[in-house]
Amino acid sequence: MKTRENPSIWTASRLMNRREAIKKTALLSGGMILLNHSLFGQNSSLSTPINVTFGPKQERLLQMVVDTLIPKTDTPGAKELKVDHFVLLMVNDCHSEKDQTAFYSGLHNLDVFTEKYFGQSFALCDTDTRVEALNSVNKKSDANPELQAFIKITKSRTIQGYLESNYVMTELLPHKMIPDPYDGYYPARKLGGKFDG
Amino acid sequence: MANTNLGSVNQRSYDAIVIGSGISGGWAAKELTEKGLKTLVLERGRDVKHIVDYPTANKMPYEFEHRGDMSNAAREANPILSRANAWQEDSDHFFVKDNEHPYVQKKPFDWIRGYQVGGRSLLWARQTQRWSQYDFDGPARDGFAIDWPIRYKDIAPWYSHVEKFAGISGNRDGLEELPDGEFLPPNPLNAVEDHFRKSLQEKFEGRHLIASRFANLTKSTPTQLAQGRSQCLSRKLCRRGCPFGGYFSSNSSTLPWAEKTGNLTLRPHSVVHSVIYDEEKGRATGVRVIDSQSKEAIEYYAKIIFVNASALNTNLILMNSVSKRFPIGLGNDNGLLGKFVAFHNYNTTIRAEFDGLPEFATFGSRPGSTYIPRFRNMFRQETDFLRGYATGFSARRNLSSNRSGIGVDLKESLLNPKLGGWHVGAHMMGETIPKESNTVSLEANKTDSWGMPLLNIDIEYDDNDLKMEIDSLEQLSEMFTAAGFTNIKTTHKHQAPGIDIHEMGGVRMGKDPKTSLLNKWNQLHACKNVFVTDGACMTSTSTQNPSLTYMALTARAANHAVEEMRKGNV
Ligand SMILES: Cc1cc2nc3c(=O)[nH]c(=O)nc-3n(C[C@H](O)[C@H](O)[C@H](O)COP(=O)(O)OP(=O)(O)OC[C@H]3O[C@@H](n4cnc5c(N)ncnc54)[C@H](O)[C@@H]3O)c2cc1C
Repeated sequence: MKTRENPSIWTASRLMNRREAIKKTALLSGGMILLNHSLFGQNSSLSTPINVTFGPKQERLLQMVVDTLIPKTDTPGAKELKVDHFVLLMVNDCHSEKDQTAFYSGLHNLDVFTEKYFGQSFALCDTDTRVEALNSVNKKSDANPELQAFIKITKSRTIQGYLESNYVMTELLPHKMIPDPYDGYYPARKLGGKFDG
Repeated sequence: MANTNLGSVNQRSYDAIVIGSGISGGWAAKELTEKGLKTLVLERGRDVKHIVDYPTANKMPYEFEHRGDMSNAAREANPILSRANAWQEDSDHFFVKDNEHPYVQKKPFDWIRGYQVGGRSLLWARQTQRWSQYDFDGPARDGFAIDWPIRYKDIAPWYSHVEKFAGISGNRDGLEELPDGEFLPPNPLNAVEDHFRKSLQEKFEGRHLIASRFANLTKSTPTQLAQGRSQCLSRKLCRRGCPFGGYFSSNSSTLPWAEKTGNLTLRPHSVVHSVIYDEEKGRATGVRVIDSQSKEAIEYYAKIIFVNASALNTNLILMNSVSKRFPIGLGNDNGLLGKFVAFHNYNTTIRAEFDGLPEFATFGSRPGSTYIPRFRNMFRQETDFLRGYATGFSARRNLSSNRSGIGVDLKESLLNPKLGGWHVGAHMMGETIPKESNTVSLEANKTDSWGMPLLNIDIEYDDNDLKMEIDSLEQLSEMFTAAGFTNIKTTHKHQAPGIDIHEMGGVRMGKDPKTSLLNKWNQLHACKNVFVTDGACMTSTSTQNPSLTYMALTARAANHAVEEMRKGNV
């Protein structure tokens, strides 16, 4: 038996070999596997596992959320890498029913929340306000627990979808299919270790 | 490879038949064909050709739809399989699905299988520790099961034989309780593993941490190069099948080797139904096969038969092999076939942090980890439970990022991961005591799609196991504390047996035909041209991962079989 690796943890070699980036993938090839669902057609609605509408409006809202979580800078952000597709795919395919319910109802609650505390829908908030809104969801004790769950799920899947996207794994933090030989006494300072020996 | 179809009896006759192409069957095939025997390997699953049939081997993480995770739908359809950690999107195609091959669980038992050419040799974690004389002496010394008919010295040369060919990495540690073998360079320990090793050495008598021994080529010697296998690149994607042949599997090693002799016929899609016993000749003459695709029944004949269908399936085949002479299963004169089944106990894990050695980290990747041989009741009985447990241990120091922010901060932080602290973890691997009440039997009224009766599995842990689990957590906590590890967290799992994937017994070896099924050469006492050399033959389980011992027993028995054939004895 063997326990599985945690995919969210970076190995040293992955960081160290950034400079050796294999520049073979076009910048915006995105790399997210396209969904089979026809949900991203302009007018189609996704049949969600629970009885909540998920149509173009919700789709845009989710896109704004992932864009707020990991925005475009001099490199593409989560929206450009279509990480919202990945979030939905994972929620629908791999999360518990409880998570799914929380996710879809939480998403519906986002506008209620921003209207209450920021006087407008999430879409109308500017970037800073959106960041503040997402940050404050966990701080407001009266915030809807499903909204809090929605943010938690979306954030963790957005981070995963971003880090494990074709683009990030080839351009920014190249994943080495053939790792470096092992050194069990590697100087921590070479990895920017906070404890310098 | 010859394509066998229904043909004349002659066309369906061989010198030897091997049932199953997994770790043990692959070895039987290699040894028998090398010695010149025309050998038919019957495998119930599909063919898996080395390299060509490893569809996921070179995929990047983002090429898996769910980044490795199995979907809810798949998990719900496979409650048993979903308890196996190694079942992931990249290895899905090598695991048996719950509904494909049902069995009856009298008590919960997670039976994890791989039905294809290569069996579970494609999927295994490649840990390969030898048994010692203390393991073979165990039942006699401690008064459980029955005495093994062999001792360490009988198997030692065969361990060497299989290690040299398979390529086993390890350090020569000079421990009586875990004998050294023919090793390729060892896996390096890291700073904290070394620290733990020294701490054990100083503070605990008889507890040793060593580099685990495993079947990855830390170096490819001419022996493996001749098999077309090159050095392991530490990709740690073994379960996908390795395009470099960096680890041992039947597919990369024994089967292609056997094929090169020109003496091998491999027939996939061949479900062995039973062994044919000829009442007049007083010997087995062949096997009945159901072609899994056409569902046609075919008979194949041979002078000797090796049953290597994996421990529980071997029990099933023998129980299903009934004749006038053997009404309750081939060789089953004493009624013990299917009894005294045992396994390993992986029920506890422990983890902690370490603030020491901040000047070091780890870099790169390695295929193995570290191992603490059994220290409980090793040289004398000293606790209120029998036997003991080995321990797997590893330390790591990862780069990770602060994920608390949102927006540009979060992105920055994700793209610039920082070195965290040291984390350590360990798990027990306990010996279980074979008991008559732990059995497998045929479920008379239920058959599978091929007309084979289903296996009924009636196996459970006992008090000895529980005591050992508790002891492992106490001892490891003490050892962790003594090494300065902090924030120690123990986990006491209550998983069903089976998930250790080390099922053994049911057709045990022994000296006396009254209390055992097989003799010291793995021949059925009552039907000497049938050999059982997979896990079914195990008299006791010890703590070591068992497959290396199956390989050595198989090679030993196969060579004996050839000698006996030449002398006209079988
Ligand atoms: C994830 C995982 C990790 C593991 N880690 C380790 C480890 O680190 N160390 C270790 O020693 N062991 C390990 N094991 C266990 C190891 O894989 C088995 O001990 C080993 O494969 C057993 O060899 P075998 O030849 O008996 O059976 P298998 O390799 O299972 O092969 C049996 C073959 O027989 C075929 N068969 C079954 N029934 C029939 C029939 N009726 N007719 C024809 N063919 C049939 C099957 O399809 C299969 O191909 C691990 C297993 C798994 C799954």
